[in-house]
Amino acid sequence: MGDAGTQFRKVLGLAILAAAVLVIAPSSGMEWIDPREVFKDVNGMEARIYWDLRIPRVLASFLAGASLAVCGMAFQALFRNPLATPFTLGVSSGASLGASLAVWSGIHFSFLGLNSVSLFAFGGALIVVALVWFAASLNRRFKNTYTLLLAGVAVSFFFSSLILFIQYLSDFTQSYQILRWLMGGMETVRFSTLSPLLVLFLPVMILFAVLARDLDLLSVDEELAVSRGVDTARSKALVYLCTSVMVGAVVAMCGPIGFVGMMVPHICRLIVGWNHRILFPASLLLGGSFLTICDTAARTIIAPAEIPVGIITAMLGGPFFLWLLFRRNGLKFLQS
Amino acid sequence: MIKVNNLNFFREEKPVLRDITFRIEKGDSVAVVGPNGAGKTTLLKCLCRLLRVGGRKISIKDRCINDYRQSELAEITGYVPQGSVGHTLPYTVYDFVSMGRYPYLNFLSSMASEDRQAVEESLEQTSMSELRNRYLFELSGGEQQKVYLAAALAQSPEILLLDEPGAHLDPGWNAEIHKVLKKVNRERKVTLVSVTHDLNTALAGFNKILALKKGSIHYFDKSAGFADARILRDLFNHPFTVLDHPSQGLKIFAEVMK
Repeated sequence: MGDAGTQFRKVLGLAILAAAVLVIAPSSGMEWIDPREVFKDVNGMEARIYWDLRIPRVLASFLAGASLAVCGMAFQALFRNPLATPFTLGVSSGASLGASLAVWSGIHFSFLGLNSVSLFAFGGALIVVALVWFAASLNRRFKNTYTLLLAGVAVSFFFSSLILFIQYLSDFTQSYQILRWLMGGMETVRFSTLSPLLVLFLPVMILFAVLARDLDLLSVDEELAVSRGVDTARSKALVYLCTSVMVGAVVAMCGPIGFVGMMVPHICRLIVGWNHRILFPASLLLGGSFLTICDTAARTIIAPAEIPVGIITAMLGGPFFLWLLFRRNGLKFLQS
Repeated sequence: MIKVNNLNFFREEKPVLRDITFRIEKGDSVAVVGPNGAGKTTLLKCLCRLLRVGGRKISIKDRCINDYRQSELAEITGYVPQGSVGHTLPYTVYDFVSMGRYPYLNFLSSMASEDRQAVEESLEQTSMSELRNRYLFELSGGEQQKVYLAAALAQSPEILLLDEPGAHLDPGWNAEIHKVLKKVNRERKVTLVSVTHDLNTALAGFNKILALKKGSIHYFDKSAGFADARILRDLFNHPFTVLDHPSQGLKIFAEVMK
C-alpha cells in the first residue's frame, strides 16, 4: 500500500483526525461549550460539566475504542481468522455474566471508586480468561491456536446461557438494567471509573508495539513464525493474556460495545495494509476516534436522552465497511 | 554442520523415525527421498525444531539443538515449508522477504543497512528484485515459491531446509528453483537439505542423497551411488531402469510402467 512515506502520511492523517476528535468532542453535547471559556471560569457550571463529565467520558471512549481495535487486530493475526474479535474468547460474556449477577443479587458496594457492577464484570472477565486458558491447556495440542479458539467459543456460549437464565429469574427492573448494560454505554464514566483503563492502557499498548513483528509472522503461519525465530509460545501467551485483561477492563467500564474491535482493524488493513508496525498505530488512532465520534453522537442526537453507543457503532460502521469491502481489490486484502 | 545420533521420533506412540544417525558437512547438498509416510518431513521439522526431540540427539554446529534460543536457531537455519505455494497474503514481496530478518532485529530497531543489504541480496539471487512491490497474491505459483526461498535466504542462514521446493511447479520452474539452490550452495556455501520426490533432480542437483524407508535410513551417501535400480526397487517397491543421459554424462531414472 505504497512506500514508507505514503504509509507514514496515512498514519499522520489518522493522528490529526484523532487530535481533532479529542479537541472537538468534549465541547459538543447537549450544549456547545467553548473550550476557551472553561479556562476563564474554572468553577463555573460549564467548566464543571466540561471537566467532570465530558473530559472523562471522551477519554474513556477514546481509550476503550483504541483498546478494542488493537486487541481485535491482535486476535485476528493470532487466530488468522478475519471473524475474530476481542470478545471471541469469551471475555465479554464472562464480564456480562458478572455484571448480570451484580444486578440480580442487588449487592452494592464500591472499591477504588468502582461500583459493584463494574467489579463483578471485571471479575467475571478474569474468571473466563483463566477457564479458557485452563481448558485449552488440558489438551496436549494446546500449541494449536484452534484449540484455544474453540475452548473460548464454548465457554462463551455457556456463559451466555447463564446470562439468559439470570435474566429470566430477575424482575422487570433488573432485567431491563441487565439488558441496558449489555448494550454498552459510557454514561456512568467518571475519572474514578476510568482509572483501571488508564493504568493498563500504556503498558499493554507498548507490549503490542514490541510484538508487531511477531504478529506479522504469526498472521502468515505459525510454523513459519517459529522457523523465523519467533518464540511463539511466549508471544501467544502474552498477546492472549494482555488482550484479555485489557478487554476485561474496557467491558467492565462500558459494557460489551461490539463492532469496533472487529471492523476497525479491517478498515485499517484496507487503508495501510498488513504490516503490523503501521497497522498497530493506525488501529489505535482510528479505533479511538471512531468510538469517540459514535459516543458523541450517542449523547447528542436525541439529547437529553441517550442512544446506547453500541447501536450507533454498528449503524455507522456496517455500511461504511461494506463500501470499503466492495471497492476494487478490497476482498483480497482481508483474506488470510 | 548437522549431526544426528540415534534419533527416534514417535507420533501418538507410533514410531515415525527409527534410529537415525548421520552427519552432514558444511557445504553439502543433501536430497531426502523416500516413499510417502517414510518420515522425510518429520526429519526436516526435527532439524529446525518445529518438532522437539528430547535429549541430545541432534546437534547443529556442534551444539545441541535444544540449547539454542529460537532466534539463535533462526540465524543458522532457514526453512521453506511444504505447500507454501498458493498462499494469498496481502504482503508485498519486499515486506514478506524483510520478515526473514526477524532474528536480527529487536523491537526498537528498524532495518539497518546490513538488513536491507541481506534482503536485496536474496531478492537478487532469486531474481525477484523487479517484483518487490507486487503482492504475493498477484504472483504465480513459481514466483511465490521463489519469494518463500528469498525470505529464508534473508535470514542469512548457513543451513537451508526445504520441504519439496519443486512440488506443484512445472518442469521449467522446478529447474529454475534448483538453479537458485545450486547457486546459493556454491556461492554462499549454504548447506542444503531438501525433501523431494523428484529423483532425477535429486541425482543431478545434490551431492548426497538420504533415502528413508519406514522411518529408517535406507541409503545415505554420494548421489552417484544411488543410481542403482536395485536400491530404488527396494525403496519404492516399484521397478526402475537407470539410463545414461544422452548429452550430460549423468544417470537418469525411468519408471518401468506395467
